[in-house]
Amino acid sequence: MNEPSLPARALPANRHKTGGRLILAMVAILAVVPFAVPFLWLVASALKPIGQFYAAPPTLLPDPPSLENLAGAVALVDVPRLLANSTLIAGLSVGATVLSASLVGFAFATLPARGRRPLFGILIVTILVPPSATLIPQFILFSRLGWVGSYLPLIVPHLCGSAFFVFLFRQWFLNQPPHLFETAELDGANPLQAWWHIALPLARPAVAAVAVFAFVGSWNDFLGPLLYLREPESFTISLGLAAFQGTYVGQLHYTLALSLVALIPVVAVFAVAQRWLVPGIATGGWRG
Amino acid sequence: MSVASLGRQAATRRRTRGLGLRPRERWFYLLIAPWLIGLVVFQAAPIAGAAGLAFAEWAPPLPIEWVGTSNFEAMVRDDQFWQALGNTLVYGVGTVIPGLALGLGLALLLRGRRRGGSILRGAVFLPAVVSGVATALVWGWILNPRFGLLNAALGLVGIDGPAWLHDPAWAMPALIVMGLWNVGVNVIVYLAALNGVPRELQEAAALDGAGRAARFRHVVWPALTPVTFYLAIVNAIGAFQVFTPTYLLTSGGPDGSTLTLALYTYQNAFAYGRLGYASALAIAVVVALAALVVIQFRFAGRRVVYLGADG
Repeated sequence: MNEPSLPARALPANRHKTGGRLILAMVAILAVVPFAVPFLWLVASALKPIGQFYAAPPTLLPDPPSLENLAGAVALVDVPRLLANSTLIAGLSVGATVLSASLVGFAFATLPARGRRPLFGILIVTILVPPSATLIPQFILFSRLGWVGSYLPLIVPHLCGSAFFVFLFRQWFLNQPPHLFETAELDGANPLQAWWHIALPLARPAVAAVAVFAFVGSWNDFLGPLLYLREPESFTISLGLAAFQGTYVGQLHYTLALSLVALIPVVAVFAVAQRWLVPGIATGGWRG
Repeated sequence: MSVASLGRQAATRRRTRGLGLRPRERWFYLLIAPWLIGLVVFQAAPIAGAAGLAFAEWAPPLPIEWVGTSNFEAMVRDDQFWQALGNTLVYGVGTVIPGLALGLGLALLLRGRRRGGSILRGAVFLPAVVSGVATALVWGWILNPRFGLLNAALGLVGIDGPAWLHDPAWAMPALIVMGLWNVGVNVIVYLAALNGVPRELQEAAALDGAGRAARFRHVVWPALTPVTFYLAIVNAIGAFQVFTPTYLLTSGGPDGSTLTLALYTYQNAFAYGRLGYASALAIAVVVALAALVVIQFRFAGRRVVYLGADG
């Protein structure tokens, strides 16, 4: 880990005896247990042969671990197709989000203009608008456009720069030395070129943080696919999983194996990106 | 017409073309255009639409019919609405306040570069990236009255566990626990904010003889108030949207004990085809949340300390 966090031993009061530290470590481990157990239980359950899966009282570990639940689930539903659909939607959403939010954030941070302050105020207010307020008219809009049943309602809105990510990018660019962008302008670059060639490469940690949040948000979205996708072949993994548990009600052993598959990609992305997350949103004390 | 006045007219025309914007301002509006378009198409127009539909009855393909305030009158008499509102408030209070305390406590506990720290942090963050669907299914399994891990563990200490999601008294507490499992987002935000607390301030306080508790109360906590305020509002909004676990696991039951406003709105709009009434419910949620935010600004807003606020 190379996050610029405060090393605990920089403060004099923490310098004393290792006993206190040991207790703190124990407390930390105990506090984390409730977060880890459901995970471990999912993995253990998904790998249990059916006889052990429905044992009461439950056995702790699968003995031996088996992939028969997974194989059974894959035989019932086209899992690779679901994963591919989710990957396509998430990939396009992430690309659209990063480009639009960084562009708008860059403009708010570096280009003075009349009307910028009130517009930024509106941007902040829209972070607070609950999604349920716009849900029904948006659905009507997309059905009028004939987009229901396609991926467009799940992707196109991301081209418009979600307010929170715009805010993150703005904070990031505000914390860069301003002369960076002015020099680019003196060299004859217009703001669009300055954004693409200078700002975006500089913002890599913020890009990583926003990309991870956007990926997780899109991959895990349930209500959107539930409203807009109709054909089972077009389902995302989240929707497919929900549909599966509704169809095969008594087959929880398959459902849990499928749940495990559904979260492997997010966990992998997260494991790779974790170290960028905290620095990416450490945007200078949340100045406004 | 004199030559001079023609010249003046041309100059005015030149200035008004481009709405009187200087080149740099034109670039600003060009670059924020994607957001401005989204603001109008995906936010402003839909909100106006919802506000309009709240005063109408509409079950497509039938024509839209204006009904004045009758949707709101029906809402006041609707027992299910009041139950959903109560449930949502219970869920909100049950997740937001403990979620802030847990988030801050875990961030304080897990910050710094101790050995194994990143593994512990990862274990707390991970649930926050698990989809709502998978979360619901895993917890549904853990809470299973017969085969579940929780009741087996309670059995070991001689407690006969309840039926959780099948028990009207325990279903909502179970949903709250599921919600708190996702507290990792708060931990990430608090860790980021803790990195932003000026180290010189903490060291100066330590040199002045301030103990751990005093340093937290007078140096660290004031610096965390803006982020706490932000999280309180955002978490409250999130709590009002809770949908997936109750849709998947309980469908609002048993006995309506987990019927939330989001689920009730969804049912009205997409299951019962009552778009007007559903819009009225959505507007009620917005009004309730706006009231909540105003209250938060009133009571907490003045205690928020902005460090080096520069605009």
